[in-house]
Formats: sequence, structure tokens, C-alpha cells
Amino acid sequence: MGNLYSKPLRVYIILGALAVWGIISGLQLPISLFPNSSQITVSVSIPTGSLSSQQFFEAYGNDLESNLQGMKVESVAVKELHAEYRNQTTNYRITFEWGADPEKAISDVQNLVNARMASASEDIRRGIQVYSWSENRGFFAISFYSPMRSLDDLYQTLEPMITPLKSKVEDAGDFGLWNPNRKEVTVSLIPEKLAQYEITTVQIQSAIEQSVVGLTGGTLKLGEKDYLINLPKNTPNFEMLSQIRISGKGKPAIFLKDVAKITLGVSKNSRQKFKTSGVESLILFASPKEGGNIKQMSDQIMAQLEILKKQWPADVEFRILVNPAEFINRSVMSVVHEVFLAAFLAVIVLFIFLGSFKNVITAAIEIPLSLLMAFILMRLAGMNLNLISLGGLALSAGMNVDASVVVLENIVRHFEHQVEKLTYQDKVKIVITAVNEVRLPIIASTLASLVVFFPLIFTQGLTHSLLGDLAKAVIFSHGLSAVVALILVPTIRLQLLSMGQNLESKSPVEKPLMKLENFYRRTLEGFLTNKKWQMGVFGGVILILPLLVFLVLPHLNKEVIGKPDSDWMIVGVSSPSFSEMKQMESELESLEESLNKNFGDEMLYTFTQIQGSHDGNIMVRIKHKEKIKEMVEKAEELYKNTPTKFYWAESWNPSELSIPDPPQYRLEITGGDPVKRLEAAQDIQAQLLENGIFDKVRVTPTADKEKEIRVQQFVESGSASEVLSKYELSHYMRVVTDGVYAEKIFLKQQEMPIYLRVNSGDVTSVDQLKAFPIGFEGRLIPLGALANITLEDRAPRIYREDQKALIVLTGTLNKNQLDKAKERKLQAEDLLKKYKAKRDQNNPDLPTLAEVQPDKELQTSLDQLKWAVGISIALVFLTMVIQLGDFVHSLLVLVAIPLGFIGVLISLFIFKSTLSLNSGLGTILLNGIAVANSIILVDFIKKLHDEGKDAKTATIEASLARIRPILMTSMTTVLGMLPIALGFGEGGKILQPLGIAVCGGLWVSMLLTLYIVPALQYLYLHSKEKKV
Amino acid sequence: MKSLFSLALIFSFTLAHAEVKPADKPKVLLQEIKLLNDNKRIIVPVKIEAKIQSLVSADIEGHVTKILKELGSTVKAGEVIMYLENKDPSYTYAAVPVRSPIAGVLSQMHTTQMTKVNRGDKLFTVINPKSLKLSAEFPSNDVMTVHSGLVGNFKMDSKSDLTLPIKIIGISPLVDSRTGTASAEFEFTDLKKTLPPIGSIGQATFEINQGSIIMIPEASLVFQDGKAMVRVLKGKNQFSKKLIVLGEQRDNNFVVKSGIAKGEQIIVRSSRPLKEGEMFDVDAPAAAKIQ
Repeated sequence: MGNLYSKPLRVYIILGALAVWGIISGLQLPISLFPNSSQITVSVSIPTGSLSSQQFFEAYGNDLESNLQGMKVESVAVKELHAEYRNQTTNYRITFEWGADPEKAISDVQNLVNARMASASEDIRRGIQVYSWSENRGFFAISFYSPMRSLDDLYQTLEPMITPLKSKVEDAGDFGLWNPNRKEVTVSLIPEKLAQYEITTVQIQSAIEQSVVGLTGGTLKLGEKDYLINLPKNTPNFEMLSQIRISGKGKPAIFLKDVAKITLGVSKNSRQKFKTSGVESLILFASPKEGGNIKQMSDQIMAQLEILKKQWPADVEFRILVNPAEFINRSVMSVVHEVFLAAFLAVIVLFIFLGSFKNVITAAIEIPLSLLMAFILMRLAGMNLNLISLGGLALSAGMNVDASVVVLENIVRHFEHQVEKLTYQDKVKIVITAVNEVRLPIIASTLASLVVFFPLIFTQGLTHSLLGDLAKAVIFSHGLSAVVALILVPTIRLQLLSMGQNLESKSPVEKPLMKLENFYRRTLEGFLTNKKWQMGVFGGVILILPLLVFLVLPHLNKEVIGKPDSDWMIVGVSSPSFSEMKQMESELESLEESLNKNFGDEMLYTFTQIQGSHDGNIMVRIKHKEKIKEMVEKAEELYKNTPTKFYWAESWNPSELSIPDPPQYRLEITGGDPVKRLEAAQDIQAQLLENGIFDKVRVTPTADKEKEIRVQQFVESGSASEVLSKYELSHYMRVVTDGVYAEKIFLKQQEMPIYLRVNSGDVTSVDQLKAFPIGFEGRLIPLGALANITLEDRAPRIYREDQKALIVLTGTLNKNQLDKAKERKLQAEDLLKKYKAKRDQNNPDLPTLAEVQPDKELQTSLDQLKWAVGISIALVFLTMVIQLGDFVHSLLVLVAIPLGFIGVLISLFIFKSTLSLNSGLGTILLNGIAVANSIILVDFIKKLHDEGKDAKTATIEASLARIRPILMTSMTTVLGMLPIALGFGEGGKILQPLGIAVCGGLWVSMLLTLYIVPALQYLYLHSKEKKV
Repeated sequence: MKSLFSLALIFSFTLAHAEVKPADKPKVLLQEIKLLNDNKRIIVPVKIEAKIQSLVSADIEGHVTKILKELGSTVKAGEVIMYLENKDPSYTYAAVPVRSPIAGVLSQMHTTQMTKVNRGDKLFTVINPKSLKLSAEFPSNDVMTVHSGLVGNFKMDSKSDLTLPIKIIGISPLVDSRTGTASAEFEFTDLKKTLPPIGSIGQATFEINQGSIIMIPEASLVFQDGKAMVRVLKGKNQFSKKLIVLGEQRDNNFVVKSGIAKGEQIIVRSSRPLKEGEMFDVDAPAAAKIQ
């Protein structure tokens, strides 16, 4: 070691090289918003063919469910299986535990479903779809608009430039310019003409299909070789369409133009419209492929757009709707700022206590160095830079100087007693002695503050994937800081000494510090001797802790992880009474006008989304995100529901980590008669809503008795098959209602679908449907004569979760009402109790109503964290026992932990923070730091007492000697975490609970530790003395 | 101890700040229950044909030697339209004139000059455009409801605003088992109006009054224990739930068999779910505008 310290150049080169390696590693670390981990949900949709929902369930569903439930993707099990059997399709939603490989999951599910459905009919098997959507993947969206162009014109201009970009954006999975005005070739059939020529819609569809289909004419042997005779697929153009020949049985052929008008236009199926600040817009949407880097993808798209911008016309503008890269950059930068601020504050604290700048720099150089070296390990561990791992680095910034401070202080202390001139060799010896003295304690206390993170490695799912990175970052950087402290600090010190520098220094605030020490001495002396004071404080602590646990803890809001601020506000409208999209459009126009009037100064631009006639919303990009809460509240105040229109306003953050957002209440209705189940769901839903207990009450699959228009052909009269077969009838109905896809053609190199529709206005009543003419032997037969068309109840859907049939009712509160969750839940429970009591108890058909904990995921996470806290305390205790070799003293050290809890709970409550994974982690972190404080005290008091001093003298002397290091390390940590606790910056809100927990906890713990721990130890030592 | 006290102060301060917002008074949309005519509506597609129409075919075998009239020209009864000539001596080598049996318009020409026609081949059609009839098929279900003399309306299509009065002049007593329909004929009753051209297809609507009924919109229904109820206005701004018996559904309205009377006001829509006994404001029929 001595060799090492005396050769500073070698140390500097090695550390310098490591620092460079660290910088390179840091630059190479991928950047994302959150750790690379996700929970994947795979959806399966299977058409039921001719089977009813019940038949399908019996034939395939039961077997499929049990197989899906049992499947594993590389040892990751299925967490939830939801199945819904409807009349035409069956849907399965398979949610895996955290960490399953998405592509593998999809292919495994696909294989399993294919194998199990092998015996099903062709039309069922062909319709099987397996897909997945991981919300954590995120997406990128931009709107394009031009006040001078029509949307289609704009699309024509931009599409040829933008679509080829996909090949230049490596990580893009989905990528494309989306024109909500879907164009189509509409073949609008004239029912009267069809009737006149006695042609069915099926004939028309097959005529169109056959006009383009490619066929073969067998093979012909020419000499030695076989030649395939090919009638290639036609690519019909617009003009050709009208010349398509339709021939009926034994009737002269007619052309498509005789029975239909063929037009090119916006599809009737277009039910979406987008507007940017009131101008109709196109959307460029991109999402990364599996495992792709969303930031890189977004950056590349933006860079390409910047280049393209010069090529497109000047009137074309675009607005960013979602650019994850922007958010990630800002968040990452703000955490980086926090790291710097933390380091800066720590340096100031050091200066206040140490005085000399050289000393401060000697200690502070460790902060960047350990961070850089942590990057090396992070890179090797395959981590990425994200809010969580950066948060870990920010946290450790303040803690990292601790080791240096201790080494530095010890070296200074050893030199203080040396009067005569020293040779260089003597100096080296002294330094080595000083370092050796503190080497073990430093390693031990660093271990103690790292060991608390150890249990996190064994947590699972959400907790692990969210906190694993943070724990690793802290362990890497804090662990390395101890190594750096033991090598670099003595080396620099020795070099400075050898250069003959005078390193004597005094704190610039020496006098107040002395005063503080005096005050501490007096109060501690008083505290040790005054039994009443002791009783008061001990009693107070013993009283206040359970009080906080029972009164405050339950009132803290729970969340998985804090959510970042947003600069988007969404105001939405829904109206059940609108029947046309135009109504919604004009409603949104007046809403936009009102938004401009009320929020104009705060608005950057707006983005309007119209989704059919019932729903629409306006997204408002605001200037100052701090005002978002205030604005949402104002919007809620402004836009009140009317009987026909419902409004909602909330903040929206596209870059938010999607974590389970559980409802506040969940009721499962099982067993009994299916109709009774539905009625119970309906009644409870109505009562919960009428009493205003929850803002939204959802029933899965549905609370309404669903209706259908049933068309039953008159089989007995024979008219069914004579005039129209069942297939022809259903085809005709589909043409009349939704339209039928026939083929596609290419127009100007653009693929265009052909839809068969009926040109007869919208059918708005059953009577109108019945009046449709069908030609038959020169007569016009009304559709109503062929079938009985009635409104009927629909066969109920079957909904199953984890192979159990049930109806699920969930109650959700709006975001601003969440603080009332507990109280509302109790009200709901009370309401259910009354509802149950009112039911006819003797009816055996009554379904079972069971309230189920809705936030299971959050609870398990918090439970795991509780275990982690518990185990970390046990580990600290074990470390203490090993270090101190004494049971009682180890327990004394642990006293700091409950004292920290008091601080955590009080500060979380006062600052209205939440009980989340991060505040839990803060508590774990706090355990390590708080214990380090009390360790210093207990260890030193014990040492002095062992040296023969009496209990009181030992206690007071030791406490006084240690107050400065304790204040220093605590203050560097608290101030280092202050920026996090204040929650400034982009992603600030995410780590805020952690900062609050540590800051608040550490202050309280430190103050109380300074008195309570010495007092307890004094009492113990005193009683031991008495015995002797 | 002092610090504990100040802590308690902070506690009470934060608790006091947890403000309770008064819930907004709900707004409702009302509808007065009226007795409506229970009209059974029957809509059938109709084809417009000429009442007097003559399809002339060849009496003899021969060549069409001359066609005198152009398609669409007006012809008198007995006017010669074309000549047929047969080389057989028994026809005395003379051209045989083919005459229009009725006065009207030459509407279809089935042959051309110099075509050889056989006996019985179609030659031309003359129609009288002034005498129109409408032919339709009634579904067997409706045959018992409609009768000769029943008055209805004609429309070119369901969206058209123009309606013409029509009357049933005859219904076949026979239901065709293959189509499940009985043929019927109507005529226009107001001949002064511009009538649609022959050959066009439209819709005939007949409404048969079956007494009076009460109908309520689907949106006004609430369910309790599987039973349908409506919320009836009580006093000025409260309601009580009333059990009703529902009849058939007609599009998005329900027929009410019993449980509610004419003149009562029911809540159709409300700005939020309402609790019985809760006070509300009645919204003007036109939905309130945004500020």
C-alpha cells in the first residue's frame, strides 16, 4: 500500500484511465425512460364460426383455457388469463409475469392455440389472430397539416417522402403516415336496379372478384418441358370497374354501371378525424420494434424530418404530439443536474466543516470519479441510463463523500500530534497507519449501507424491475467510492504533504460550530442525568411511533411509482345522444373556441381527435407544465356535464411508465343464474353511481342486456331459398349496413379498397330495412316478406378469468378524488352489505357477491418491499454483531431505525407524498445511513468505556468527538437529496417520495439518535458498572 | 415537547386544508308522456306500370318491311305502326299493316326493319302514360291488415321529401308460397301532380291506426332487480321511480303497457346518475351551450 501512495503518478494514471473508460462507457450506455423490463399481454381472437358462444366454450374454450393458463415462456408463468366468449368471436387475454420475452410469448401462444384448434373447421382456424401490445414500448407521433391544402392533397404530397423513411429508421416497428380520411372506391348499388334485373349482391361481389382474380389453365407439354397456362391477375382501373359484366342465370348480361354508381371518395367507415389547432391533420405514427430503442428511433425520425422539411412545400407544418426522445432527454438532463447539484451542495457542506479548499477537493473528487467508474460496471451489467438508474446515481452522490471524509479526517488527526520535522518516509508511514486504522470501519460501514439493498435482488416482478436498477446503481457507485477513498485520498494527501504544503485549516464557521458543540454537551449532560426528561422523550417516541403507524400510515396514498409532470391537458366530450360525426365536430369546435378564450395564453397548440359521433377530445399542449394541475381543475370547473353531454379533463403523459393502474373497488359476481348475475351487476352499478361513490363503474363483460336485430327466414313457406338463400340475405344486409369489401385496385400507385354499399341513405329503422326491394320473377318482394325481423335479447356473453366464469364490477375514482379512496371503498362495502341483506335469502339462484382486493399488484409490491425492509434490518443487525461482537450494542445501533421511521412518516404526510416503491426504497436507504450514524456513536462510546473511562465520561466524550462527522455526513446526504425531494425537473415527481423519505427521515433520525442512543448506551453501561 | 406541539399544529393545518367540494347540482332533460297514435306502418317497394299497355305481336310470319313510327312517338288507336310482308302467295303479296290497338306512346320496339319475324314474336309496346298503376307485394303477415281502399303515400326513396297520395285498388287473395307475398295494385289519387315515370321503383307507405299508445325513449329506462322503471317528476325538481310494464321495442323507443299515464313528466337523460330524493335542475330542451 505504501508503495502505491508514494507513487502518485501511477495512481493518477490508473484512475485517470478508469475515468476515461467510465466516460466512454457512460456515453455508450443506451438511454431510455425506464428500465428494460415489461409485462407482456398476448391477445388471441378466434372466430366462433357457426358455433354459439356456449358451444364454442364447450368444444374448445375449456381445453384452451386450461392449456393457456398452464403455459410458461422460458419459465415465466401466466399471471392472468381473461376469456370472453361472444356470439361471433372469442377473445383471450394472457398476461405474463414480468420479464417474459415478447416475441417468444407470441409464438408460444400461437403454437399452442394452433395445436389445440387443429380439429376446428377451416373458417375458424383461418381466422385465428395472435398479437400483443406492450404499452411500455411507447410511441412517437407527429401531426402534419396545412391550412392551404386538402387532407388528401397533403397526403399525396407527403406520403412519397415519408414512407421511404422507414428503411432509414432502424428501430422502428410500426411506421407510417396515417390519413384518417380513408379513401375507397364505393360501388353504390341501386336497390331498385338490383330488383329490376333480379341480381343479388353476392353475384356482384363475385363478378368483381372474378374480374381480377388470377387463374391457371393447366399445363401444356411443349417438347420436353411442361408449361403452365396462366391467366394472370388483372389490375383493374377505375374505368374498367364500370365495365364489369354481371350475368344472371339465363338472363342477358348487364354491366356494373347499370346497377351501381361507382365513385372514389372518403370511406363511410372513416369515423376518425384529427385536427391540429383546428386544421385537419395527418398523423405520422411510429413505435419501436420489440427490443428497439425508442429514443434512438425518435431522434432518427426527427433528424430525417429536418432534412425532408426543406423539400416539402412551405405551407406544410407539423406539430409534435409525442416525442419520447424529448422527454427522455429532458428527464435525463434534469437528473444529471440533480447529480451536479447534489455534488455541489455536498462540497459546500465539506467546506463549511473542513475549511480548506484543498481538503474539500481532495474529498469531493471522489464524487465524479465513483460515478464514472459506476458507468463501467453498469455497462458490463447490461443496464441502461434511465430515470431509475440515474436516480440511484443522484442518491449516492451525497453519500459518496462519506468515505473520503473519514479517511481525510483520520489522516489530519494523526498529523495533528506530530511536532518535529518528519522525513518523507515517516509521512508515508503515518499515512499508512491512518488509512489502515479506518480501512476496516469504512469497508464495514459501506457494506452496512449497501447490505440493505441486498434483499431487493430477491424481490420479483414489478418491484424488481423498477427498483433493481436503482439498487444496482447505488451499490456500484457507493461501493466504488469506498475503494477510491482508500486509494486516492491518501495519495493526494501525501503528494500535497511532500510538496511541503501547509494543510492546517479551520472551519470558516468554527465559532458557531463550537457553540453548537457546547450546546450539545450541556443538553446531553442534562439529558443523561435527568430521569424525567428521559422518560418524557422515550415515552414520546414509544407513543408517537405506533400513533403514526396506526393513524398516519393508513391515510397515506398508495401508488406504485410517482408520475412525471405533463404538458398535455386533455378535455374530452362524450355524448350518447349524437348520431352523426358532424355533431361531435361542431361540438368540439365550440369547445376549442372556449378553450382558446379561457386558456389562450397558456396554450401552445391543440390537437383534436374525433372518434365517431359519440366521442371526441381536444389535447392542449401547454406552455408551463407546473400549471397543469391548476388548468385541469379550471377545465373541470368550466365544463360541466349536461344531460346530453359529458365532459372530462385530465393531464396526459405519453411517456409515463405504464404500470398497473388498479381500480379502487372490485366486486366479483359468480355462480347462480346467469340472468340474476347480470341483474345484480346492473343494480349494484346503478346504486354505486347514484350515490356518487365512484366516478366510473365498469362491468365486464357488460351490465346491459344486449339486444340484437334478429332476422329469421320464413322456412315453412319456402320463400327463403326460392328468393334469396340465407347467405344471399346476410350478404345483402351487410351491404346495406356496413358495406362489404370486394377487392382492391391501384389508383396512382395507391391501393384502394372497393366496397359494396347501397345508395339509399342510412337505414334508421327496422321498417326501412323491411322495405328493401328484392326482384323475383318480375315482382318486387319486400325484404320483410322473406324473414321475420325483430329486436331480441342477445345470448349473454361468457366472461372468464383464470378459468372461472364471472361478472366483474370495478369502481374507479377520478385522479383528483383519489384521496377519498379509502372512505369510498368503505361506503361501497356498506352499500353491498345492505344490498345483500335485502335479497331473498332462500332463492338458490342468487349469485355470490365477493369483494376482491383490486390493487393486488401494488399490494404484492409493497408487501415485498416490507419484507425487504425487514430483511435489510436483520442484515444490518448481523453486520453489527460481526463488527461489534456484542448483542446489546448491536441492538443499540438499530435504535436509529425506528427513529428514522418517525421522520419518514411525518414528512410523507406533511408533504402529501405517497407510499410507493420509491418511498419504500427511501426507507431502506435511510436504514443504512441512519445506522451508520449510530454506529459511529456506539462504537466510539464502547471503545472509550473499554479503555476504562466511566460510563458518563465515555458517553459524553465520545458523543462530542463524533458530532462533527455525524453532522457532516448527514448534511451531505440530506442536502444531496434535497433536489430530489423538491421534485424539480422533468422526471422529478418519480423519485420525489424517495427524496422526501430520506431527507425527512434522516433529519429526525439524526437529531433523536444524538440524544437517545447515547442515553440508552449510558443506561446500559451504567447498569453494568453497578453490577460489577 | 415544544416541537411535538408544533408538529400537532402542522397536522391540524394540513387536515383543515383537505377541502370538500360540494357536488354540482345535476341537470335533467324531461319529456312529457303523450298519448300517441299507434300506427302500424307497412312499407313495401312498388313498381310503376302503365295501367293500359299493349304488347303487340306478329299475327303472321314475314319480314318487317317498314316501320312508320319512331320510338316515343304518340300514336292514335288504330294508327299503323309498321308493315309485315310475307312472300307466300296466300298472303296476296300485300304488306300487312300492324296497328296500335290503343292510343298512347310507342314505348318499346322489339324488332327492326327487315327482320324476319315469326308468328307470335313481340313487335312493339304501346302504353298510355296517363293511366298509371303501382304494383307491389305485401308480406303475408300484413295481408290481413291492409285492404282495398286504404290510403297511403308514395315516395321515390326513403330519403325523398316528395310524397304522393295513393290508394289500394286491389289485393290478391292468394299468397304465393314461394315468396310469401300477395300481389296488390295501387293507384295515384291526385292526378294533378307530376307523377313519376313508368318503370320507376319507389316505396309505398301505409299507416294503420291501431288505437293509441304510450312510447318512451330507451334512454329513459332504468332497471332495478331486472325490472324496468322510469323516473317520474315529483314536485318541481325531484323524482320517484315507477315500475312499468314494457311492450315491444320500436327502433329505439319502447311501448309502455302500463305503469305510467298521459301528462306525467319523465326524466330522459341526466347529467349524472341520480339518487331518488335528490334535487335537480331541469334543463331547457336545447342542450346547454358551453360558456
